[in-house]
Amino acid sequence: MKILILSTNSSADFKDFFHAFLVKKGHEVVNLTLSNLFNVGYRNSVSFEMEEDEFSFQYKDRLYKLSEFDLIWKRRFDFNFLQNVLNAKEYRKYPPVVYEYMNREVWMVKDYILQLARLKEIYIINDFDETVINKLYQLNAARRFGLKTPDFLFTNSWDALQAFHDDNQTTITKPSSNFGYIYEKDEVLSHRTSIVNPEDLELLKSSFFPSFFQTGIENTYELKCLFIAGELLAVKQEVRQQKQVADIKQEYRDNNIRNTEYHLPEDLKKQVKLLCEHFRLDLCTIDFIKGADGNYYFLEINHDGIVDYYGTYISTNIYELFYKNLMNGKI
Amino acid sequence: MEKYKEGVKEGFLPVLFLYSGKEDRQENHELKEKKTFRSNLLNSSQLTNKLSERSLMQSSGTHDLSGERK
Repeated sequence: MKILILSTNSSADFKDFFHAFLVKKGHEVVNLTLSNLFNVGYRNSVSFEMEEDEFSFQYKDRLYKLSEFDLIWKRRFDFNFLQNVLNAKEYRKYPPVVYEYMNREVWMVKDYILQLARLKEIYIINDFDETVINKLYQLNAARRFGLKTPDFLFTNSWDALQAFHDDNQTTITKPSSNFGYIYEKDEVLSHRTSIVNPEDLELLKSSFFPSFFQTGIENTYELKCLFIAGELLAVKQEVRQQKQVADIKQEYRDNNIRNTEYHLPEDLKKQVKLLCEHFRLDLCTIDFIKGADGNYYFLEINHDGIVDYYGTYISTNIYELFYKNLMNGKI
Repeated sequence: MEKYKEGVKEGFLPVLFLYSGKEDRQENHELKEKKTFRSNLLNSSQLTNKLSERSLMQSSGTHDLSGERK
């Protein structure tokens, strides 16, 4: 079988290990990255032609055509490409509109390759419904599939926020969409999930910039779930020193987390599987909190989440599982 | 960071900017330079055995936070 992997870059993650796995199984695999297509003049740049009904690219002496592939896997295809790979600094000397235009151009090429593949009826692994990107809609969908979620409020009103805060023991705020780091001179800033201090409400005017709030759940531990082609596996992330944690990333940095394999209840697995199928996901990670009240609270789906790292805490071979579940019937 | 807090107070930025935090480039693994293979993996014949061995290997053992296998 001939398989095309489309990604932003190549790095030692699940994609590259699975690439190697597929080769060992006897498949011909090509990994084409946005770096290949857009890093003009770079030693690994690849010349390509995109026409109405075909996308072809040349690598060394070989010409590849999209239509010759039996299967496509897109993994982190456009993942902050301009910002992280093409070096956004290059674009700072131009007005911002140039950078925005470049982003759209990259998106156009990426999207047309996928559209062509769909027209050619080539199966695309993880060709998910784009609505999964909206974290608010994820929460809405999760509830419709019977999962518990923390209540949320998106508001610009002080009165509404105060009322929400009065109804909850703890209020948190966090980005409602993906938000990376801010690089500013020599400093790097980040925005984690944070508890809203009641006294901070006094800093706000009666109307402020629309912001995302959620009920803070008193938790015992967090769960990182891996959805691997229909199968749900989980890793328990426990803070070594018991304390209330708003954002587990900080605990990671403080070396204060213990990861262990976790077996989810069957009814929860069923609900999560239905949710993933709703978004047409083949591979993703899902975050849960196990509340002090004993309930599991859905936090979010990461459609391009880290799989390889958490897979090392699981007794199942995630590569075999992905291969078995996904490829059966396609090979 | 003060300008971000001011931005919130003035109504230009969402409330989460009240809690912007500085990151330590040395401590935060996400900020360290990543080892990338660029496109030398494009051609499957260039894949190293090491990569495939790892993926074929049955996962076992546990990791501590430093990522070292115990």
